[in-house]
Amino acid sequence: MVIIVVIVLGVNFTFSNNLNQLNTSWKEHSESTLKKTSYLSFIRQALGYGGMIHHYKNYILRGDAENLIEAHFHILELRTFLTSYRDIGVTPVEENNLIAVEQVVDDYFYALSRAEVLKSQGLSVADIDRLVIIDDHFAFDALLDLEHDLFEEKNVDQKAFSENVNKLTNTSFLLTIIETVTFAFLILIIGWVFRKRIVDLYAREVEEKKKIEEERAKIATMVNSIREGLVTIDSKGIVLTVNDAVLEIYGYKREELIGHNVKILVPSPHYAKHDGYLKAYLKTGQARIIGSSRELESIRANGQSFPIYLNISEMEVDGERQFVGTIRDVSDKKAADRAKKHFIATVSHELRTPLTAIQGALGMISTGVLGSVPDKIDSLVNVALNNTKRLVLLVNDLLDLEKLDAGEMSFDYSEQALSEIIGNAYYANLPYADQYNVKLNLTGKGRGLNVWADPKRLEQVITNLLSNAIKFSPEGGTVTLNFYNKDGVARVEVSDQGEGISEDFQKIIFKRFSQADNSDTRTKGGTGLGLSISKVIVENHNGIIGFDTVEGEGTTFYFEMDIYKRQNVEKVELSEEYLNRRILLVEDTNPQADMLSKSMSSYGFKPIAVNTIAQARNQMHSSPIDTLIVDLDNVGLGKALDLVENLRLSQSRERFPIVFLSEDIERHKDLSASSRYEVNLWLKKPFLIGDFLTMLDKTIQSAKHIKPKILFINDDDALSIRLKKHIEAKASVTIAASAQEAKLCYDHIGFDMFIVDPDVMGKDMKAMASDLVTKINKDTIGVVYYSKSKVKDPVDSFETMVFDQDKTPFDEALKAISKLNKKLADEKYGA
Amino acid sequence: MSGDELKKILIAEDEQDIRDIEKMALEMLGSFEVETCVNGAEVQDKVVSYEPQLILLDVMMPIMDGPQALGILREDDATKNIPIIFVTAKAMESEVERLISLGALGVITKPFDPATLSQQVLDIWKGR
Repeated sequence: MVIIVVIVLGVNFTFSNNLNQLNTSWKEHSESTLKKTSYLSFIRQALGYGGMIHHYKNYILRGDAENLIEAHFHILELRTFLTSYRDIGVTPVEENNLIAVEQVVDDYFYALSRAEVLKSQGLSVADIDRLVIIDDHFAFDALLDLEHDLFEEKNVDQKAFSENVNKLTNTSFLLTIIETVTFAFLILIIGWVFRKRIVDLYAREVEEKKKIEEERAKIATMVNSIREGLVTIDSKGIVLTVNDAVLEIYGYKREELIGHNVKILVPSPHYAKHDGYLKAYLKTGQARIIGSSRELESIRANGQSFPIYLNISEMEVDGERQFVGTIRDVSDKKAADRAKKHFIATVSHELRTPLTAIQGALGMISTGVLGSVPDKIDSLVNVALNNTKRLVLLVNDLLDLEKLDAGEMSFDYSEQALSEIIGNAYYANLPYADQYNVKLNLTGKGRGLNVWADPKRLEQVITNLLSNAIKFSPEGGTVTLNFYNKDGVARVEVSDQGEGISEDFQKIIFKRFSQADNSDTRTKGGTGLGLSISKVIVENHNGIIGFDTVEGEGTTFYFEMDIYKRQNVEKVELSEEYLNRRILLVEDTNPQADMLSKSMSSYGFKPIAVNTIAQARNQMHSSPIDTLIVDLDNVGLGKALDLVENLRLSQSRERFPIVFLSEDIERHKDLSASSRYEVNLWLKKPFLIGDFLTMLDKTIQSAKHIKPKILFINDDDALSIRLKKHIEAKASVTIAASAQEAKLCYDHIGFDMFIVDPDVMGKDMKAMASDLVTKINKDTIGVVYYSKSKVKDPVDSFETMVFDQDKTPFDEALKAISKLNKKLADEKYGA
Repeated sequence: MSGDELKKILIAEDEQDIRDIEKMALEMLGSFEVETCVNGAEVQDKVVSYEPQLILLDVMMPIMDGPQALGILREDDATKNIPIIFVTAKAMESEVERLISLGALGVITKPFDPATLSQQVLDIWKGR
């Protein structure tokens, strides 16, 4: 480019120098005439065949980018030529002709734009031709005029100044040609670059569109190949998209779902509520289902309901809230689980029957009561018998594992002396050690260590560790069973003098069916399940299990668990008043719950233990209670909540502690989140009795600090405000200005004290008072009369105070009321 | 019930091999007098003709299973006090608890050790 510009400038410079040399005006004149003639020929070319009009017509016919760009290029070219022509200097006649040409070029420019628009609207060639009409003969007429004039001019000049002109033209013609050609070349290059850029831009756009399409197709394929159903819905529950899996799972067609409310996938109890759920979520932002996975029932197109795992996440698209549901059909999995369970139960039974017969038969022979057997046969009988016993153990282990996996292995926890469990395991394994000619040592300073444990299960763990140690000890070796208090935890160790555990095996030793190598199974016996079962058992005791090993020297397996501290419980200071609380315990008859009432009794409580809700109600009717403890695993949540409602209403004591116990306390807590009635303590079973008593104590203490409730029935606003101010710190005051208001409050809120102006209440007072007597324990309710007139027959079964408004100023009455208030609070919630 | 010493035992067990071994173990190692039958329905007849002091009742049997048989025995004044020990291949604790709650005196799990079966039976008998 730079080179071209330099050349042009250089040519121009040379040219102007030459011009200076020819200092006559006619020379200049002839010169300009020549230039104009060449420009005219360029213009004609750019206009006609191979130029603007030609490409315009081609574009109309084909509608391609190539011709469009060519046409634009020639328009640009024409405008440049016209400007150059004009720059030479023109007569008014020439100017008019130039304008005429220019007009046609402009017409084509607009026609081109118009045609482009019409093309994009899909109009046909004929239509466009009809709509876009250009009269271009003006341009050719004007060109002819210009050419003619120039020709005339040239003839006149030639006669007069032929010599000079000849001279001049020789020089300047060459220069002009060079300059013009260079100039045109420059424009060509600019045009070419310009054209290339447009073509590039267009090509890139096409490329990007293609890429997006491909990406979209890829995502659609992926989404549709997912086996889980994906549903997106808008904030009104309308289905926006579904993938193929949804159609497969539910048996709907795509168009039967899209645009419909998603609740058609929801079975009847929730169907009606689904819109509400969604609205509530949008309003409150609270829904447990968002972001978490849960198991639900869903319904197929054929009406069949089935279990799914549903996961919902939220997203925002163009400012609209949308939800994506991931649905997994788990009906197969459920069926498989059931089948597996059934299979294992059946197999274990079916295996046991023949095993019983085999073990029985061999056992009878080996007792010798059937007569003596030759030694060789006897040893074979023993081989058979031992292997039968091994098979029985394997079946037992398999059952244990199945129970562990299903979370069905029950643990019967209680306070246990560790030494006793250790002792049992030790003595049980002595014969086994003898059999392998291994010495079994029992050491340890663990006497007096108590643990919270299921003794049978813990013994199973120790036996497993001992039998492993014995099996893998060299003949004549020693296995040591040791237990002690290690920095506040109970630690049990089983050490052997075996070969140690190889590094590879260390990694998988607690995994199922793992044994150092298969030959071990044959020579030493065992199923390879013992350690993995032991691990689960120890972990269920909140303990840890592990080992230290030195190859060639031996291995120590250990487990550690918390020491059960009875001292904690004894430290709980239980006052007389506290111990005499009437605690109603609704519990199971099973040993664990039974133990709770026994333990409570042993610490001085006098719990009233019942097994059913009906018994609980009877107890509550016969005399009021102070604390309620319900084992939800026994009575069920719904019934328990009914009981609480009944209790809170009938005893009008909304604040004494209610304790719920369950193995699955979190779920129960979730389920009862909407209940109006407060439960003070949720405790997960199993728990340490010491912890339980501490928690119970805390709950009772905190319930105590709640203020008594007073209903002030009076129509004197000034008095009401003064009362509120005065005792608000110690009691919560509800004000009722009429009998109706008082009744309303009384029906819905429990009160500890009434301060009443009988004039306001009239007959209702009497009715309400007698109602109170039957409904509420008289010890905890007080009635204060504050009246202008004489109180005729105050209810005397309550703590009653009567003030004459005229004689006793309100402030004085307040002091007395405060005292009564304190007394009531003390009685009710404990000192 | 006649006397305190256990003598007459009735076994109900559908598997012949197991039935034979049970009978053999109790007779040879415990010196009991043993009669057998193959399901709960037969128990009802045997109880009348044989008058056992104790019944070892298999849980899973065709025609009439152990718990059903127990239920019928408990309905009749003449038989309702005969102690029953269930013999079961289902060793789950929950199963044992369930059987006890039906009113059985005890539960023996399969596979049992024939050498100690008599002692097991006697121990449960003494704990009446």
